[in-house]
Amino acid sequence: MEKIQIKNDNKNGAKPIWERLIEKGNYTEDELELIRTTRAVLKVIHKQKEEGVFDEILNRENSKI
Amino acid sequence: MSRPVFDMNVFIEYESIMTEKDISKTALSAVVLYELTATTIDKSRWQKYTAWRKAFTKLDRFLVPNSNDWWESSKIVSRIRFGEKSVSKGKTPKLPDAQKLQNDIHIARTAYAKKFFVVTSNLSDFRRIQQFLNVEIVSAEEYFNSDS
Repeated sequence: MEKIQIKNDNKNGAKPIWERLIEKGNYTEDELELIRTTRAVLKVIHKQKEEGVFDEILNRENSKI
Repeated sequence: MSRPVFDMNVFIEYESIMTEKDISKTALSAVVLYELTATTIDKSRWQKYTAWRKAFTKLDRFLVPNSNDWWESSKIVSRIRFGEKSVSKGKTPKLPDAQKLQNDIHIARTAYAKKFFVVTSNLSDFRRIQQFLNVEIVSAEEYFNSDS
């Protein structure tokens, strides 16, 4: 019988964090969605930082008053 | 339950060390979302921010200034601008550029309305606001270095 290969997107083969959290039962579905979407946004923010998108905003932030 | 409301600079400066526990407790200010997205043009990035907003909205943790918040915020700007007497520290120096604090005041005011607290790496501006609004402010450094 042919074995089914389950694809795992994580490089180190670990389960995604929200799957592990579901197994632990610590969070509701809505909170897990919050964690998942926040992780995705934090990656976007990281890229935006690398592109220097926030430089001007942060400079302004630091010199408001 | 009191929740942290992260200022924009927290998302930028501490994105790499935020844990699931940090994320699961937070509320999001519409002002912070505005500041983070105003420079975004990429469609896929917009989709991620859209899903993020929906997730906070679903949990009733997306903080949008209402008419009362705008009214109270304008009073705070005015008091800072003209150096009115503060809640606890007597007269404060006049600050003609107080309008620049508008976004921070909205973040603080909406957090205050829900009895949440603001986490920021820009303490000085929020300390000034705090003189006219009894909102709890926590430094990001302190927040992310504590175990709780």
